[in-house]
Amino acid sequence: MTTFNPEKLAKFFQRSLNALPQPYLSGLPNHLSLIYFVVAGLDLLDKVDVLDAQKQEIINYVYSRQILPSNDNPEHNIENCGFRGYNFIGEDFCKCDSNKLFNDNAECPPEFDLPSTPNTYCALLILKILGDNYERVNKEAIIKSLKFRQRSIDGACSGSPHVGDYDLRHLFTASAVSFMLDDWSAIDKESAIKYILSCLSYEGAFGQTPKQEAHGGPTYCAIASLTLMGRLDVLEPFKEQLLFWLAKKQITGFSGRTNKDPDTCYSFWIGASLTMLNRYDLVDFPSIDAFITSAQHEAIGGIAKEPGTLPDIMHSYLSIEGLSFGNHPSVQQILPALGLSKRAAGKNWVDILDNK
Amino acid sequence: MSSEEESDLYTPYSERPEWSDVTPIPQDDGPHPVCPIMYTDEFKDKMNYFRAILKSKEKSLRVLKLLEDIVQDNPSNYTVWYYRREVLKSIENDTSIEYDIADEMQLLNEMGETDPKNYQIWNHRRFIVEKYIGAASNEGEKLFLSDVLNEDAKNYHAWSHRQWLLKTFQQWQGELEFVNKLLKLDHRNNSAWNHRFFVLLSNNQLPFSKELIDREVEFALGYIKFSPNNESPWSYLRGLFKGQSLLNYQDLLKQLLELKSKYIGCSHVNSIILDFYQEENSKKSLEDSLNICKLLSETIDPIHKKYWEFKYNTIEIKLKSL
Repeated sequence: MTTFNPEKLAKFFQRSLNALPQPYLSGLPNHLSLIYFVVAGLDLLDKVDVLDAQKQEIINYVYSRQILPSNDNPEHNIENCGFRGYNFIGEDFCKCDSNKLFNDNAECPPEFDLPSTPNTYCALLILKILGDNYERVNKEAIIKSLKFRQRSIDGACSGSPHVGDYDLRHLFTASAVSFMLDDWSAIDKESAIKYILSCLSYEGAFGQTPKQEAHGGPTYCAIASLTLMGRLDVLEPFKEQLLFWLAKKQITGFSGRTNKDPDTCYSFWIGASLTMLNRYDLVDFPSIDAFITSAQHEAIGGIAKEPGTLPDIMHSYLSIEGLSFGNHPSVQQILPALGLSKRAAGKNWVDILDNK
Repeated sequence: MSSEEESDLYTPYSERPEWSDVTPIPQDDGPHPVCPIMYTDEFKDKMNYFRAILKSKEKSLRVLKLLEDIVQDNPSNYTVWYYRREVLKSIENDTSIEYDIADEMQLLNEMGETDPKNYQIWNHRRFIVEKYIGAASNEGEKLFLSDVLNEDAKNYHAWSHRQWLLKTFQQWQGELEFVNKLLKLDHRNNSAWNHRFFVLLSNNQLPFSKELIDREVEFALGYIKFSPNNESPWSYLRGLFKGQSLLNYQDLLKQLLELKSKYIGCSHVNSIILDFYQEENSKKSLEDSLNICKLLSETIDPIHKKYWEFKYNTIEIKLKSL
């Protein structure tokens, strides 16, 4: 059996840092997530030092995505604060590249400059990995903006203003941002927990919204949100069936739903869920390892969703996160609830989140 | 169409006389872009004009056309879709501009077929249906969903849209027949099984009544007997008892034990019998449970060996504490 080649994968990530081919255009509105996959990927492979020369540039680039409150009237655009995926509205790069926590551009901020919580989450992760201390993050504005994302009727969260995509994904990213900024005042935890439990399907795992099919992605989001809130206890009555569902998703690699084919990305979504429940020992890890290894592209170095298809940075990153749960020697340890290496997270977060 | 052919046909906005009054705004990515995406000059050109429009806040037919041009390249762009909704809202009140919302549905149908897993296209669709068409959209929406599910019967977005449609307009008739049709095409389609459960929940509360359970058990067993290793009907069967005890259904246990002796090597029948035994929680039933765990871990279900060993250990502890 061949083995997973971390050197080739690191080169794939490094090349991606300099250019991503045209098919990644669909990821443009979530561009910070693409940077996160690459930077966090190098970090997991213990190669974050190759970024040393570019570190400050990447940090500045991430900060250029921050939507700051208006200097004249901070409340004017408070709902839109946070990080955007890309500079769609034509903001001047230099004006973002400063230590200011408010925007003093008279024409800014335009009403169409929209943040998304997934981008804010990824920005905070990238900055953390690169050792930035969030000095230029306007935490107060982000938390105030986050307050507008949760819906009072059922506790669900949306990702952006005016988009209307209320589901477990955005409840998770809102939880992660609250945790990382150490301020939960934007989220009504009790109604969030109610929403999470309402997404539990008859199969014993979570759907994206209430009554949808049980799925690995939202199941991760549910368990990770509860982990970050320190409220995993609410799962106790459902844990037995949840563990059964999770364990049964292993085919060779994991699949994301009953009767679907395995896909390398679920080595993270399902693997992380089991790890947070302290039950990764239920997994046949050699099969996971072999499945991921077989999906690594010989020439390109990246990992694909399944063997025989083209690799991409998302599947590459989620795959090696998956390998970390089985203590793969080439991959750093991670905190599954954040998707961040323990090294980058630091002692404080590890003490709170690590159940090992 | 190859990108070369496309370039031949594409007239940059800067060369279109009807756009000569607009000054494009280029993107400023600073001196060191990170993970830059190598998109085409055409896309850059369109986005430069989009930026100019956001600044002028123009809301017109030509802007709708520009926005359409952009989402065709980049359908996940939530900012562009949001502005499109703002334009639609604005021209709705402007009698000098005529735009037929049927054209918007046409665009959504085409884009929905070519990119059926894009959140923003579905999201925009929901907005248009809800705001402009209402219950009258029901038939057309169901037709469109049938087309999409015909291509990929497990498309999560399509099922989500169908659930939203049913909940919003409360037109449930024919829904179980629709599920049955899909299950006949592919009995392993777990999304269709989930949808059947969703339909049950529309007019039944959990825990389900005995009558309903009897009917659904028969339905699931029909598929199980057709293909015992299909996990979906087993999962469905187990889910029917949510909120109540399996022990009230001893007839089912009897049937399952018969199936167990027929389906040698079927892990699903063994794991549901295990659930019955565990609930019973007697010395005999727990001892039988241990045997089942052993059978599963050693012979029938080796990939989940560790799970069944874990089950074995927890049941053994229960047994000792009896």
